[in-house]
Amino acid sequence: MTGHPLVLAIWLLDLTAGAIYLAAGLRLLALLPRWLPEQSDRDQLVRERSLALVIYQGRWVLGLQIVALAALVVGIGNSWVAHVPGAMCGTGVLQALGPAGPQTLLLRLLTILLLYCWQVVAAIDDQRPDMPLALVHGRLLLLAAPLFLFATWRFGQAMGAVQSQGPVSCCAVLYAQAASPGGQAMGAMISARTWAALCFGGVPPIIVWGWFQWRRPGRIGPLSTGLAAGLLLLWIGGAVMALKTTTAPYLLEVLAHPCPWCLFLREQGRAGFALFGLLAIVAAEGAAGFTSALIGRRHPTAAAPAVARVGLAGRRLWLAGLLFAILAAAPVLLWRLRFGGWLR
Amino acid sequence: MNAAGLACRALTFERSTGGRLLDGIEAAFPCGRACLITGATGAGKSTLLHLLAGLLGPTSGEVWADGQPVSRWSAPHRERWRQMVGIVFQHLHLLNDVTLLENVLLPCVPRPERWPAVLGEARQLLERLGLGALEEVTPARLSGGERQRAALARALIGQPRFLLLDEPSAFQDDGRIEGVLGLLEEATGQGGCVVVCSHDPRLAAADLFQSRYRLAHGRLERCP
Repeated sequence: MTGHPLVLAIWLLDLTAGAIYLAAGLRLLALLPRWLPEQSDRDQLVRERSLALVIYQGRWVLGLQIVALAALVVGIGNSWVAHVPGAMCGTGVLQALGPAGPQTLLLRLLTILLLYCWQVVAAIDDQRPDMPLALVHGRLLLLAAPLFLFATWRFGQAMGAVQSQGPVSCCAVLYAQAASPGGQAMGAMISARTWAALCFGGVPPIIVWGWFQWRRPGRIGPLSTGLAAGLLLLWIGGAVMALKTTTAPYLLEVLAHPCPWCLFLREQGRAGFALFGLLAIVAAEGAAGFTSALIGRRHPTAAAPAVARVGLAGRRLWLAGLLFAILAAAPVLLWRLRFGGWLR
Repeated sequence: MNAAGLACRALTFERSTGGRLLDGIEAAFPCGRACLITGATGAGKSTLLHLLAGLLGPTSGEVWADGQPVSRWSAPHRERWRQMVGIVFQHLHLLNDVTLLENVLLPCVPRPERWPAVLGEARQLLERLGLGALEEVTPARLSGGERQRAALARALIGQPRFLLLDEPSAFQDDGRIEGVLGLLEEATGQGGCVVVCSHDPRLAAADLFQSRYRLAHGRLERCP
């Protein structure tokens, strides 16, 4: 599997992004300690041109990382399934990748989230001709570097682990988890109906909040957007559980099958890409709204573009939330319309 | 630096091959006035105009426009500044594959909202510069003087706030120079900032220029 075109593509994307990131990082390390915007000497002008180049480089890194993550998800969810003995979906592939598999996924998500926040700050800074946020986005870009390195390293380890992996038991481990004392206690505490209520009940507040944030961005401060971002993360956790326990059975047409990776299979119309993609947009825009509100509060010179970005985040938030609710509820409602009852 | 117009603050430009062409230039070119910069060939007049137009970045120092340090602006914002500048290049840079009228209209392509009015203005300008009958002719078939006047029309079409001209009379006979000077006088009368680089004695003798500078050895000195 290590010679699979998608694996090679991810390596190529990571190496390219790494080389660009390294060049940008070295430039930032050279220019940030000597950043003197009040001066117009030769060195400062060179630093300003360097920073403009760093912004282009950072955007390339972000783009390449998004493509690499998409390739990784396609690989785990579809392409590599046939190459892992015993695997029927991404759960089996992740077992073959060992602990490094989920870790590289999580680290890549965090890297992209941080780089997205950097891009939000850089875009706000772009709205002003005098780059008042140069130091802020410069540091933010450097902050994501360790995550990027760690994610790439864990990807290498995951690819190494798959070599020595025997047959996997795929989704069976999920049933074993559910049957374990911990899983049973969890199931007794929070039922599928509760997860569904949390997920679908949370959508109207998200739409209202996103709408309000869009229409009245100037009235929203970092405290409320920060709180909203935290609640959104909790909601995303609930929404994932609702997808596994409520939506998945209707899509898979079985009584219960709590496997998120099965939603990425071709047989299920690759619905997982849309559903989890929309959740990723909700997370990204929640973070973008918080970052913009924080920037607007702390840097009055950039307040106007920051407020505009808070509004944009709000619009994307309610749209993504609404679309997610429609897509997640559609299989359930279609089943009800077709057969006149619920799956129990 | 807050005055309306263009200003240079410690403006320095070095060639990539080494050698300082402009050395700490301090000057102000206020709006509503025409300024003439003279100097020997190779003194850096064209480079100074390109710096004032935002086509080149200085090695150090700043260009200010209407109280804003525009040469320090990030790339997306420099476009806003460039759109306020009309320039006649020494080598004209007309497109030989399109007609004279289309050449004049080129700066308006990104601003199509007032197209019919702009088309009328372009024709009027060409008429005033004695090129009315040549609007459908390609520049390759024109004389040097006609091409230069077409370049002037192209610089004036957007009614730019800052008008920069590099040797605008080099190919003009005495009769045509009056027409060119008349247009520049109109531009200054409308509050524009006009900077002309030339070593044409006919321009040096013109009354239009309230401020005169001499560029030599990288320094810009005000002439009495």
